[in-house]
Amino acid sequence: MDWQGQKLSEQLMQIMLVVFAVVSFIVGYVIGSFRMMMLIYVAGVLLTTLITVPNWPFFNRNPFNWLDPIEAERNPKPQTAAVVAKKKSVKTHQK
Amino acid sequence: MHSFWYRLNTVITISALLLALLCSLASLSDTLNLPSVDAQVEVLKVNRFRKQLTGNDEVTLTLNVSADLQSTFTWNTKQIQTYGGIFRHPNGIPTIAYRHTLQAVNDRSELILAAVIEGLREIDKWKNKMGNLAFKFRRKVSHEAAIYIVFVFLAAEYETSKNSLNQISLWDHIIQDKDQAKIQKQVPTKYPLVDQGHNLRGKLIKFVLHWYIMPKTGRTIKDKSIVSEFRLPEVYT
Repeated sequence: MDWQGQKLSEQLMQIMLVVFAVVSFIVGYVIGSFRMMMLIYVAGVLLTTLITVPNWPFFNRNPFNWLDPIEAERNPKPQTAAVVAKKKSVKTHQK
Repeated sequence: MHSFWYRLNTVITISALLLALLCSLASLSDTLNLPSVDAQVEVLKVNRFRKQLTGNDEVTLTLNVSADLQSTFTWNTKQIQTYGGIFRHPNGIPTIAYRHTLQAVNDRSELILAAVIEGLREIDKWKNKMGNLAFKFRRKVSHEAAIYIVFVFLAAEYETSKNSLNQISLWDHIIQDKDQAKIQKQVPTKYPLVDQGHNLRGKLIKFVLHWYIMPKTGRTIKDKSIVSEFRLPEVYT
């Protein structure tokens, strides 16, 4: 999930949960059914979980633009011989 | 919000917080409800008025109780109890000598059992008809188990030289449904009015209706109303 996707999912999560809580309370209070309030709220939570928790494709519409790996090209992986030489030099330095 | 578990954790946390908030609001909405209980109690007959062998006065009455507790039911009401018990206040300190609390009738387990049996019957039918191809569960639950309950009790209260308040439960009742919250019946006292001593002859007693409302969320709401007064006869029967 990219940066934009993370922001979107968090905002979506908060807004959806609050909206479902408010709607369920109003509906439950108006029709006088505690059970209906709980059902609407639980349904809302499940829906929110389904939408915001999995890594859906629409959270990945702004992919990261990593820098080109120029540094790696500039410093190629050292050869084994070079490593040995380096090790030697280190040893001498320690003396 | 970078990983699946992190997001799941957030959803659960926020939803639990909001759930607590909803329950608090539901409980708060109960304070907006001001029930007006209309109750009347009439003594039809003094069945027995005697001195027990232990020396305590004992009275049993037949009462005509009518009460309308419908306004005590709100959407958040689970159990309102009207109850009875003997409370004595020697020196103003309440001690509950006897208190009768009834368990809510909960036939939920029976209902589930019935549903399972019904389901198995359905499966058998299908199997017989079209082999093992398709099953269908049909749960038939004819009615919901009791959810709404109010506990009501009628107490007799009087004063003696020893105790400033004597409170004795005469009758109690559990109301499980708003439709049943209108009581109108003749009842013999469930529990005899027994005094700690022999002070009852010619005593003026007050009938007080107490009710306990059991909300689904929040604390039990207690209330009472003084219903009527009655003077006991001067002589034993």
